[in-house]
Amino acid sequence: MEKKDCKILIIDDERELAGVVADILKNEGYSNVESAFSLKEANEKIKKCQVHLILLDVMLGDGNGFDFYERLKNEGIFPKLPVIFLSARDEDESRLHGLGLGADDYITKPFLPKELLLRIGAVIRRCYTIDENISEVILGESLVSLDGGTVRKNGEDITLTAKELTLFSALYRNRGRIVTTDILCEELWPDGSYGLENSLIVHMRHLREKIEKNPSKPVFLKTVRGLGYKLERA
Amino acid sequence: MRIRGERRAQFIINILLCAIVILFIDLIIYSIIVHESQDVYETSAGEIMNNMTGDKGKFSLSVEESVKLHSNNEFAFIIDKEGKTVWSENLPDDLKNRQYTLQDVAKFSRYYLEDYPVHTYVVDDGGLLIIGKLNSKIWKYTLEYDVNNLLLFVKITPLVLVVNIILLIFISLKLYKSKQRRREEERVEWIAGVSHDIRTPLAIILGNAQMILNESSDDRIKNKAEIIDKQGVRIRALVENLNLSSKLDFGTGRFIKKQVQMSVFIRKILTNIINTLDEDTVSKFEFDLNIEEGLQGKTFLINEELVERAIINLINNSMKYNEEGCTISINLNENNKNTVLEIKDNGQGVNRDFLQKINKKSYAFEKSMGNHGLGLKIVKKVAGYHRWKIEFLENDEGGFSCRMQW
Repeated sequence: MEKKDCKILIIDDERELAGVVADILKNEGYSNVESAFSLKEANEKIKKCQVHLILLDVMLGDGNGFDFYERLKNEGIFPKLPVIFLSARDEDESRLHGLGLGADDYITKPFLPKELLLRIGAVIRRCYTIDENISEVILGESLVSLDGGTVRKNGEDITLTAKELTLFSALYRNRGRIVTTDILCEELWPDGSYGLENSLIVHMRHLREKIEKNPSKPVFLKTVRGLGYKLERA
Repeated sequence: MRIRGERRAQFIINILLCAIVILFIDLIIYSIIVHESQDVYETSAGEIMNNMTGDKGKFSLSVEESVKLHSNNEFAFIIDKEGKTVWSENLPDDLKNRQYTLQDVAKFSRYYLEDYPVHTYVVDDGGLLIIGKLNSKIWKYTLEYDVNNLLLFVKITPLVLVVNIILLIFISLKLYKSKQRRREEERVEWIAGVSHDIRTPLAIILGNAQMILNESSDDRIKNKAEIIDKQGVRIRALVENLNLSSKLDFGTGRFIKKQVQMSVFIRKILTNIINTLDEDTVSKFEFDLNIEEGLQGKTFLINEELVERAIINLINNSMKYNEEGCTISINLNENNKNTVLEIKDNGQGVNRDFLQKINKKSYAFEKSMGNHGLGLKIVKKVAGYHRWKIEFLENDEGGFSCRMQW
């Protein structure tokens, strides 16, 4: 599935907020965004067409988002439909209640647009396989092919190992931002990564050797001391 | 806390004064009543005997005194040793021609004579003068007390009084406290409500500012949008701090603690902060994270929301007061079996006066700072909530430092 096919339904009685969230999403490439300003309207829209993700306000004019979500789950039509709560209620209890119901995330207003996109992206990636339109990344003199798992450097094709490709994809998804060693370890070893930080360093060194022109002075794959790594925007 | 103690002392003194004033007023009222109330018998026995003439069983009262007796609605009679009435004046019908036995005398001298309240007086030659009141309501009772009991009563009276006053203070304090508590709860709810109502409009502002930044190609407009965005983020931090501050002040048990791997937690927070800064700001500041090897895997029982807020506030504080840039260090170390989390910068630091103020006990600190330094105030409260020792100081490099220890 591509980003533009992923149908996102925003349910919020604040029209201006629903509007700006839709704008932010469209700007990021999620072109299939719909808004509903009441639970009644949302019900109709969900029944009419396939929705891939719901952004749900908690307190709406005609009811409570928590109840709506529970009903949706109990009806069993879309048991796996991911839902992210977007709420102005920041109390621990409220957050725990939402997540306890099985929601995929709970974001409190006011959110930063970037933060919202990242968290939506994470949920979508977890629930669907998203094809990034870009299959090739140019980094200086290297060309990384995400499809083939290869790097073309100095006219030579170098194959990336599975771990190296996972590592690169994780950094690429967050390009321009620091990704902590903890998250990278989790990506590489989802079944438990305790004590594998040194292996991460080894994988990173190999990845650098394959991508960077001068691996000891990396231009793209930067280490952020004490925190993690960062792939600079090319 | 000190001011609150003073206020309570003042309150107790006020109640004490009130109790004393009430006691005084009571005493005055009683003494006026006692003083103003008339004698039960307006005609005294002495008066009658003085105006009585006659001997050998023949008595006669002066006309004046007789008139007085009548107008006072009183009667009088004298009985001799045998209980025979030898003289009477204004005697009611049911008492006429009566012979009194010793038993009768014993009864009426203590209680009533046919429901008439009477008063006895010994006459010289072995007789009795009885003065009674017609149609009158008089309560009569004979008191008999052991002197020891009476002394005890005198002794414990002040004690009873003191106990009463203490009880009074206790009850009023309880009432005062519950009222205070309700008012505080209302305040927390009010602030929560206001901050809730600000959240949605602020999300709309931040979202639109970002959209202008994304879509506009005019640098001047982009610049303005950036200002809106920056200030919006500031308001966001303020709203969150305000809400948290009021909840920390009065809420109890609303923050859930759990075991958290501190190293991962701090890395996540710092990364989030750096990732949301604009490039211009990132280039000015250097962030330096040092976690002692032995503490990497260690977990601590904390409330994530609060500790995250405290760390964010300290970093924001360092960035705010060193606009030209500085190095901000976060250190997590072990020191004599205690864990120390230090967040410091090598910037321009703060003056001693300020340090002294923020190191004061919470309430005085609050008063001297007013609404400024809400961020640091929360840091203190978060440390207090987790029972951590906290200290603000000037470090070796002359910058500002906050050390939390547990």
